[in-house]
Amino acid sequence: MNGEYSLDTTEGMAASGDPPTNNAVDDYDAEEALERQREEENKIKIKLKSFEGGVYECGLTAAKMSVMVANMLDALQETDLTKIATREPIPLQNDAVTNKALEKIVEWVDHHWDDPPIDPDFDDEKERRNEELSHWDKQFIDIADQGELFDIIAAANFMDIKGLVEVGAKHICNKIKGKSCTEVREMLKIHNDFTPEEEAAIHKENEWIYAKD
Amino acid sequence: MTFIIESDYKPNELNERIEAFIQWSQKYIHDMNDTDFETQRQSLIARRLEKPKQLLEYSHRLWSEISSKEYDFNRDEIEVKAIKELTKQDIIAFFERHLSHSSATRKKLTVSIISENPINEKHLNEVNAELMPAPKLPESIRIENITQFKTHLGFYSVRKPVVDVYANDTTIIDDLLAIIFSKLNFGSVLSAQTVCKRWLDVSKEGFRKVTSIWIKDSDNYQTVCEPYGFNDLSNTCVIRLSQYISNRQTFRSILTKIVAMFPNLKRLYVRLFELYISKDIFLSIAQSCVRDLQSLSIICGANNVYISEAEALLLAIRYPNIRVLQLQSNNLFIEQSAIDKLLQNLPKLEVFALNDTFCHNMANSPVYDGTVYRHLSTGIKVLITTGNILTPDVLQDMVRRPYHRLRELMVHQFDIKCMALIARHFQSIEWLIIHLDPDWCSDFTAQEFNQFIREVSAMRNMTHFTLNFIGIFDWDLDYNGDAVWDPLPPDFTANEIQLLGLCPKLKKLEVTARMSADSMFAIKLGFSKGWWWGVKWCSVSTICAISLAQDFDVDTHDHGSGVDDHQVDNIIGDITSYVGDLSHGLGDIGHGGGGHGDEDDEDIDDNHENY
Repeated sequence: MNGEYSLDTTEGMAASGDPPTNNAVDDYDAEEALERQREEENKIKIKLKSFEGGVYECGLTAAKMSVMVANMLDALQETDLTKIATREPIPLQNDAVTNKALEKIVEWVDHHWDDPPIDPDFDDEKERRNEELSHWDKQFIDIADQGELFDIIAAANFMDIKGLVEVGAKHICNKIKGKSCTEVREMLKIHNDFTPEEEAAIHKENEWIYAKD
Repeated sequence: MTFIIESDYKPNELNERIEAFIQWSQKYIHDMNDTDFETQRQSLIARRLEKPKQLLEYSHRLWSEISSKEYDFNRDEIEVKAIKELTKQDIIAFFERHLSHSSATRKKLTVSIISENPINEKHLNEVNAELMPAPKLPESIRIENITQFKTHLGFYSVRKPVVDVYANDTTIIDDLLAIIFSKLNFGSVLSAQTVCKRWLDVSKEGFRKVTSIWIKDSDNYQTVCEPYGFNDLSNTCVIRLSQYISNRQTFRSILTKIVAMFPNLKRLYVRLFELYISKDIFLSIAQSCVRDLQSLSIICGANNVYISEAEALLLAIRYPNIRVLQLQSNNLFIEQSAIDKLLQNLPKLEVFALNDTFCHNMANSPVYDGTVYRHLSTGIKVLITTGNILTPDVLQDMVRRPYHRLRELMVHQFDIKCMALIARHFQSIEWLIIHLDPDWCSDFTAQEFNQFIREVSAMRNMTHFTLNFIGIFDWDLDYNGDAVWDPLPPDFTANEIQLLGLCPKLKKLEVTARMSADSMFAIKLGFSKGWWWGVKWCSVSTICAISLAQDFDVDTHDHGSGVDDHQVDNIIGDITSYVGDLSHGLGDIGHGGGGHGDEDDEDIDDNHENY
C-alpha cells in the first residue's frame, strides 16, 4: 500500500520495490565501470565560450551536467573523445551567460561532477523541499550582487543544469521565506505595480493564511 | 519617405526631379477637393485593416515590430483610429513642415552612387521640355570638418517601445520564478502574490497546472495511509493547515477558497488528524470541488463521523467521475444504505477505501448484511475495508460477480476465517494487507493461524503480503495505546514462512508479529527467491539473530509502525545486553551447526529445490 497506483495507467502496479535481482553483482560491476569511465572522461577538458566571449575550460563529465552541452556533444557523434578537447569552444548564446556567470558555473560543475545521479525514487515532497543546501553550495551561491546571482541561475536554466538551478532557487526561496511582500520588494528591488485597492483586495482574499489567535 | 531612382543621368538632375515631384504633390494635395480626400482616406483605412493573406505576410508584420524594437503589435488599429481624425489641413501642415523644400526643419539625406558606365551629360529638361521646373534650392555648403559638423547636430529620437521589455531586466525570469514558487510552501506563495502583478500571474499560472492537492495538518508522516492514485508530485500542491485556522474560521470557507484557486483539480487528498472537524468536512467537500474530480480521499482524526444516506448521495451525485474514493476516520459510521448510494452512483470506482483503522467502538457500529457490496463496480482494483463489513456472508455474495481486476485487498480487523473464500475466489489479488487487532479479532489457535497462512500461500498472483498484529509489542500499541492481546496470538513460525515460500510471485513480505530466531533464518532463505521484505518489529532475540547473520541487510530504521529513533536505540541497546545470554545458541545457528537450527535449514533447502 505505497500508493503506487496510478490513475493514468490501467496496469497500475508500479515496478518500484522490486527485489534485488540475482545479477546484482553484474550491476555492481557495471556501475563501477561507469564510474571509472566518468572519471576518465572528466580528465578531458573542453572549452565553453560565454556570450561575452570569455572562454572557460572544464572537465567533460562536469560539462555534461548541462543537458544542453551534453546534447550538443551527442550531436557531434564524436567517437574519439579526446578530439573534443581540440575543438573550438562551445558558444553559449544567451545574454545571461556572462563571463562572471560562466566562471561560477564552471566552478560549480567542477565541484559537483561526481555527484550521484538524482534518484528517481526520491520523490517525497517533504524531503525534497526540506533538504538543506550543503555548506559548499551555500557559500557558493551566497552572492551579494543580485544581478550576478540572477545571471548565474538564468544561465544554469538556459544550459539546463538542474542541480544548480535547484541550488539557486532554494537560495532565493530561503531569502523570500518568512518575509512580508514589502520586504521582498525591497530586497529584490521589485517595483510594486498594484494600486493600493488591488493590493488590499488580494490581501483580503488571502487573509486567512495570516490569521493568528 | 524614400525615393530610389536608377538612371544614367547625372545625380544632380535626378535630385532636381525629386524636388519637383515633392513640390507637385504639395500642390496636388492643396488642390484636392474634400470628396477626393475622403476617398483617399477610406482606401488607406481599408488597406491598413486588410487581413494578411499569407502567413509570411503576417510574420513580416510582427517581425518588423520586433526589429524596430517598438513592439507595437496593435499598430494598425491604433493608427487607423488616428487616420479617421485627420483633416486635409493636418496633411498640408505636415507636408509643409517635414517635406516641403522651403521648410526650415526638413531633414533630407541624399546618397548618390555613380556608376563606372559613362554618364548621360544632357540636362533632362532639354530631353523633355514639358518637365516641371524644379524649385531653386539654397546653395550647398561643403562640410570640411565632419566631427565639428556632427557635434552641432541634435539627437533624433526613436519612438518609445510600446511594451517595455527592459523594465524588469534585473529580476527573476518567469520560468525560474515558477521553480521558486514550487519550492515555497503554499502560504508563502500566497503572500508572494502581493509583491507585483507578474508574481501574481506566475503564481496563478502555477496553480492552473496543479491537478492534485493534499491538505494536511501536521508533519505526522508515519500515520497509516498513503494516498492512492498519486504518483506525480510535480503537479501536486501540498497545503498544510495549522490548528489555529480551524479555531478562527470554519473549515468550509477555507476549503472553498483553496479549491477555487485550482481550476484543474482532479485529485483532492485531505488528511487532518489534529483538526477535529467532525463530519463538516464531508459536507464541505461535497459542495466545493469541480465536477470532474477523479480522486477524493478524506482521512481525518475526528471521532464518530456519521455519514447519512443523503450525504453519501450528495457526494456521489456531485462527483460522478470519481475513480478513487477513500474515507477514513475514527469510528466511521456509515450506514449500509449510504454505501449503497455511493456504489450505485459511482460506476467508475477503482479504489474504494472505507476504513476505520482504530475502531474501538464496534459495538455501536452499524450492522451490515451480506449484500453490502452488491453494487460494487466489477472494475474495482483496490478494496480497503474492515472486518465488520467484509464478513463471510459478504464474500459469499461477492463471489457471484467476477472481480478479475481486484489487485489489492486491505482489511483491518480481519476475520481470519474469511481467508479460505478469498483464496479461492480472488486469485487476481497481488497485494494483500491484513491487520489483526486484539480489540476486535476473535481468538484463534496456532492451528487456525497455520491454516490461515496456508490459505494465503494459495494466492498464486500475490507479490506483496503484509501481516500486522496491531499492538503485539508494547512499543507498537495501537493509537489509543490500549490494545492488549489476551491470550497472546500464536507465533509466526518458520513453518508458516515456508508455506509462504510456496507463493510463486511473492516479492515482499512485511510482518509485524512475534517471531523466533528460527523464523528469521527461514526468511533468510526467502532471499534466495528474491524476496524483498521489511520486518516491522519482532522480538529482541530475533533482532539478535538478524544482527548475527552477516548477510542480512536489515534496515532497523524501517519502522513504519510508529517507533522513533530513540526507541530503536533502546532496542539496539537491549540487543547488546542480550547477546551475551544468547550467544551460545545463536552462535550455533549462525554457523549452521547445532541441532535444531540445522534441521530446519535442511528442511528448507529441500523445499527450495522443489521450486
